[in-house]
Amino acid sequence: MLATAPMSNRARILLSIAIASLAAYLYLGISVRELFPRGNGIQIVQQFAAAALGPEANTQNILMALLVTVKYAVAAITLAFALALPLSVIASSSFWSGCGITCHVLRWVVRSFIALMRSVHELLWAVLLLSAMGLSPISAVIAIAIPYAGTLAKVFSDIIDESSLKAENALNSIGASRWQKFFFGRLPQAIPDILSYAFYRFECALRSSAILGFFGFPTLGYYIKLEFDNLNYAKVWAYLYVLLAMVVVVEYYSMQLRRRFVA
Amino acid sequence: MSREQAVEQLWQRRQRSKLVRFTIVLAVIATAWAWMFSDITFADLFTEQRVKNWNRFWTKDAVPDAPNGFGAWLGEQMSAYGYKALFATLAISVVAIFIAGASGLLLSFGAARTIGGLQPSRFSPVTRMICIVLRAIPEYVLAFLLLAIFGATAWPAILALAIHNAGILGRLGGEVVENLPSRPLQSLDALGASRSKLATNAVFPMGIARYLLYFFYRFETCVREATILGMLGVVSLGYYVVEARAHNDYDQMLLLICLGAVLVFVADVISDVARKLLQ
Amino acid sequence: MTDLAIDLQHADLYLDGKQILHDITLQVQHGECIALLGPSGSGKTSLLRMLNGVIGDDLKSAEQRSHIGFVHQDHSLVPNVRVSNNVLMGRLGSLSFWQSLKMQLRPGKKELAAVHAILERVGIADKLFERTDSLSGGEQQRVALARALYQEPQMLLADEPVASLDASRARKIIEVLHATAHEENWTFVVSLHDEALASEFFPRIVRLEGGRIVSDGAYV
Repeated sequence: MLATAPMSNRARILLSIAIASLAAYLYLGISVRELFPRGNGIQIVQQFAAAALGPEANTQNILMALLVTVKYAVAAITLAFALALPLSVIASSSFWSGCGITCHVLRWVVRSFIALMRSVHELLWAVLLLSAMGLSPISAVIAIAIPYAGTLAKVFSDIIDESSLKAENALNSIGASRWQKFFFGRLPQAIPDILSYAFYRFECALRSSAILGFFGFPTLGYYIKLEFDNLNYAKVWAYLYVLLAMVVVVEYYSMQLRRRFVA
Repeated sequence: MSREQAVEQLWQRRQRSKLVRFTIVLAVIATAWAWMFSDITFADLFTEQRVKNWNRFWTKDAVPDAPNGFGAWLGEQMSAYGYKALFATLAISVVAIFIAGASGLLLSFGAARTIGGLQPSRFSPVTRMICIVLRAIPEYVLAFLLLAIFGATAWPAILALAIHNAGILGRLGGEVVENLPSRPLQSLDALGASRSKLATNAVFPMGIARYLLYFFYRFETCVREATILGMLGVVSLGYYVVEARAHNDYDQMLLLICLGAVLVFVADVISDVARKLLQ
Repeated sequence: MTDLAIDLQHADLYLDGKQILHDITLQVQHGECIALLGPSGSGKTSLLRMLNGVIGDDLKSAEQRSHIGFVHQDHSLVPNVRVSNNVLMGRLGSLSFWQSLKMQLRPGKKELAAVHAILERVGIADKLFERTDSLSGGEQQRVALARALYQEPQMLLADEPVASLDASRARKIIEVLHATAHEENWTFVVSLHDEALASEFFPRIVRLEGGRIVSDGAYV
């Protein structure tokens, strides 16, 4: 059967990917030969690689950078979470079940708003806020929090809509109101997944917070850029290792945590 | 023993996870520290200087300088740099996700602990470790380091995106392979098929649909990241954003940020459509 | 005859354009206990749902439904909260939203004692604060029963409430339900597949087949 069938969607998609990639490659006017660094590039690679084994640490700076990175990430994710929870409830279709056209308009408006929040990258939000207000810790936090709130709200609302209807139906048959059905029959089922996704986004927030350093905020990225521009490769490696360790530790922790509460 | 006492006793003996409780305490402390005992404060938004900056930005700096009307201005801006910024960003992310998809495919065969419950892989722990390291470094930092090596071509951005996403797709693909139905694979194995034969003849056709779902989900994020990698000096949308800001052309900067949002939105739609077709 | 708990006269039920129930005539006195028997697909579940007022022509308001207990075939509990929370949900219909929120988050000593007493009657008092999905299937079904008992309805509908229990446990549960209904003077309608169980406890048995009532009376 497979052999005689016309081209499947899958094959068509694979073909489109290949054609699009080729077109994009030609458009960019790049060549594979450029992937073999010459002259200066080779030197940098050699020096940089050699420094990997002997990272040089200024413990105090590293600790400060690490703390600031974590601080921004914590503030951003908590703010994003607080914004996302009400948004996700309004954006979910199950909250509005059995409600008229006005509700659907409201839901659609909120969903578009959410899409707008997350379509703009946190660094672009940062540039915008920096230009409009100037450098301040709160602008870093808000820059991360806006797109993260959008992403959280979208995923939360999907999780809420996907949870099982059974309990809600049971509460319906014993006379629970619309709100009671939603908040006691549906929402509790979504909470483990909501929390574990929020924790995953915290990992991402740590990375985003580190990168904001490239714009002058005193997080890990600031020192990576500074030391690299000063050709202190050994110090760059120290900060890179700390960044790596931070991400891996949090990832391991969240894996353990997920095991406990997502049955 | 009264009923109240019995209830009290059951409450004392209820199941609690130490890790979860520890995490709650930690989260409360961290939140309190970040918001109450640090330099992060909302009051900072409302100092006289900031409010003045804010007002000036939205009433003067960011207002398009358009003597011939907004439409004409928009047309000019688009042909001057708008289309270039959009296409370059899209092209970078397409090439990057192609490389990431292809390498992730190879990595997923290695990362899978078992195939159809059979043939446990000796390379699995190593491959999984590679995947973790590949995705642990943020794209932006990778691109920054690669820029010094390759110079200001599109390659640093492409490679940074490709490396990071190959790590993620490798891990996800590994899970796809592990979760494949075992019956057909076991019968092929009984016929004496080698691991590579199994991979090309059975695992690939069975797992590719699911893998493509992840592929398109990563494509979305790839486009989103590609918009900003230009800020390092590579020609993508971010490059023009930084240029506009450096010249105090805040109207152009704002336009570019909106273009970025549109681009990400379009990528969202493309990936949604593709995923619908696959299901 | 005005004090009938159930009074259906030649009722039909259509779902999605398909006729599920044909010409149902059923009268049940207040405080009467009856069993529905019939092969699966005979319309027992639909009849019960119609009596519940969630489908059919005679829809009931939430206020009316708060006086009707319903035990579903699959226990339909919230899996990841404590047993106490699930049982406490039985009274949602008679509470305002804020009252029920407080009752879910910080239940009073009196309420918990009442829940404990009911769980004792269905034999799982020691599971009061366990996570519901850590219980076995049979135990979860008993939590669902406890939720209905805690509700203290005027009429209790049960759709195959003991299908997931072994014979001796099933008998025990039906005994508890039957006794409670008698004591509290609840109207009790239960669908069963076990003829012996039905004949032991219920003087009146209604048989359904293909969406029609084929017999109504004592067990034969």
